[in-house]
Amino acid sequence: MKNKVILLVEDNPDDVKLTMRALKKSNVLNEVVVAQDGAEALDYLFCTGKYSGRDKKHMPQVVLLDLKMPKVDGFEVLQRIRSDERTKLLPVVVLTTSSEDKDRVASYQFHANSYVRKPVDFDQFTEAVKQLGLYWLLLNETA
Amino acid sequence: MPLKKKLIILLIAFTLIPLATFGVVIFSQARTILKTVRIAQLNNIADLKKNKIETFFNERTADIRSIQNFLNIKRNLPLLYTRSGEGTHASSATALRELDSQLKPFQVDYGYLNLMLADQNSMVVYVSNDELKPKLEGKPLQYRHVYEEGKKAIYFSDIFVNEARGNTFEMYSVAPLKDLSGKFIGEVVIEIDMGPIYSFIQDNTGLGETGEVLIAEQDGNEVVFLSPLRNNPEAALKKRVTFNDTVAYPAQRAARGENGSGITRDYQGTEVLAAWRYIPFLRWGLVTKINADEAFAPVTQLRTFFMVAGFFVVALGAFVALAVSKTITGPLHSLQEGAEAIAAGDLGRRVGTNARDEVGQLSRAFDVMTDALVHDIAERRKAEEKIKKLNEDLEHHVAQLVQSNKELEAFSYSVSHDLRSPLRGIDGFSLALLEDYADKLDDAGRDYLERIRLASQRMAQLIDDLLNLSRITRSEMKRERVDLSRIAQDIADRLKKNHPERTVEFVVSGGLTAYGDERLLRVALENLFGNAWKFTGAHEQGRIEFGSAKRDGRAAFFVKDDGAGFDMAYVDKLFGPFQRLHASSDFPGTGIGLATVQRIIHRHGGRVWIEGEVEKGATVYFTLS
Repeated sequence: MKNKVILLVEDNPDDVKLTMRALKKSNVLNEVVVAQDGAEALDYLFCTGKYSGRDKKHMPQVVLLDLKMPKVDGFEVLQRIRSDERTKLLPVVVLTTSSEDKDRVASYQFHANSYVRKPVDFDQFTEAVKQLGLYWLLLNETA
Repeated sequence: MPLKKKLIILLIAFTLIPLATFGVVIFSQARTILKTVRIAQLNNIADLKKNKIETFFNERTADIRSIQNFLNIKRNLPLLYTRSGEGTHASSATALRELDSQLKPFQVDYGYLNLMLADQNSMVVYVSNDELKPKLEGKPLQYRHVYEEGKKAIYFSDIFVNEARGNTFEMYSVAPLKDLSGKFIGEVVIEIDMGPIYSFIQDNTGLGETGEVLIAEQDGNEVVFLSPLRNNPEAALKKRVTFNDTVAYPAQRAARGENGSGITRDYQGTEVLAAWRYIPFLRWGLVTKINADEAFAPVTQLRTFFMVAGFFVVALGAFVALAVSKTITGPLHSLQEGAEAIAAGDLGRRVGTNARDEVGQLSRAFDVMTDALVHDIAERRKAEEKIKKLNEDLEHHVAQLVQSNKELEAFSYSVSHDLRSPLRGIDGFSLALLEDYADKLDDAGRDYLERIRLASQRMAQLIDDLLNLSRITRSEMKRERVDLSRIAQDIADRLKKNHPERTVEFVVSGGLTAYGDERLLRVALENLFGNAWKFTGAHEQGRIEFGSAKRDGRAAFFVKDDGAGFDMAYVDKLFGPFQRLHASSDFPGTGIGLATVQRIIHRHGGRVWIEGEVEKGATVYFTLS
């Protein structure tokens, strides 16, 4: 069975690179599609804009969503995902630098499946991503 | 009740009631007096009339007595006996002449209607009045019972109507006649005209308009009125009332033989004042009476006068009351109007008058009050404006505060997110270098990279601490009863579990509670225990105590350790953020702990201070309001 893609929504190229490296080091081999802001992520998910040609049937395995982004921020993306029939059940993991409680609470209010704070210590970050990836990917494979 | 009404009622009460009482008393007094006077008057008149009647009939008695003694009659009357039977006699003609010569002048001179002589068998044998002769002479006397009475003594008959003489009222007086030897030879009959008696009785002098005198007589069970009545000239011998009728009381009583006087009812049923007398030898009852209405007319007039006077007095009183109430209520009304105008907001209105009475004083006092009120209102307005301005300033400041709080929050968020991102890059790529290019770096290069990583991680820690501190200042407080002993024990247990290699004795007093925000107090205790744990780290054994003690008369909690301690000279610096008294190589930390504790305690309205000595440990005290 062909592995599904991982949609990484992240505007910081450093974080994109480090996340990709962490995923690779965790032996997550799924293709990673990077959306640089919320608008692009929505385009991908709903096959609009530059992704209008994409096959609608293929939804990502998991969405790794940053909160603080230009144009459309993470909460809005999460809201749109949860309010649409096609993506309502899509696993979304909020990945953010913020340590504010209100961000975590809001994420769960918008029905994020998980919330992970990106630690500065990259070892911890790698560990977090590893666990995330394994959990969601394994969960969906058995499902 | 309005003043006007009250005054009028009062005045009427104080005039009408005494006036009415006075009037009633006067009236009844006057009536009693008048009654006494009237009755006395009636008694007088009754006595007078009775007297006069008796005198009159006494004179008649005297007349008849002198006739009884006439020798002429004693001698001549027996001579006339046979006249009717034997025709004209020489001796009887002489006798007749002799009788005429004495009796005719007697009859005329004494004013009698007629004078007759009857024989032993009641036969009339002599008539002095020639006009009546043919009708009466030689016939028996008209009233047999009168004749019978006359045999015994002088007798006055009942009054009768003489139809033959034109319905005149008359009466007979009869008396026995005797001859010289004392033998009864017949009777003398005098015919008395009642005219003079009636006119005398009917003389109503002193009896006013309704008063009259009357005579009445008992006839079986009836009372016969004998004289003409004032309003019924035909009443004599015709009007009758039965005894025990509810009318004609005075006549009934007089006819029954009583003497007296009083207020009663006359034959017409009218209330009268009356006096009554009985004249035995005539069997007459005499009544003098006057209608009560007339008798009491003066009193009635007095009453009418009083009523009219009372009405005028009351009317005058009411008028005066009205006038007085107007002079009182007028100023009161204008005062009331003024007060209402002022109440409605016309604060410039003044009601003071120059009147020297109480109302005037009141009006001036009212003005003084209004002035004070206006002054007060102005003061209050000023104060209100001041408060309003202060409020506006305050609102402005609050708005500014809210704004800066918002900015601070945004700033914190930025710091939290944006300041950490580069650090993650630095750390992440340093690690990538270390891992992916380890073979191309010597030990010094690897060491530098490690230091880069440590520095970036330390900075991240600083950022986190700073954010936590600001969050503690900003977060909302939820006050409740907090079990500090339990929290302290939790923290102690966790510390021991996480660092089983350390030998530290925890002494936690039980039952210490405080009123505050549990989350914040837990953060404060975590910091204090963390510090104590940290600074006892250099010693082989440590002792950390949580308890309460009296300080300055107040209960203070404390966390005491026997660790590194500090020099009290630097105590002032301990609570500043990022202030440290130890090298971070000796004791790790950012120096934010006590600053955080201080903020939490201050937010609870408490005080926090620290005592310590180098190498002897430190004790942090705190109070909570």
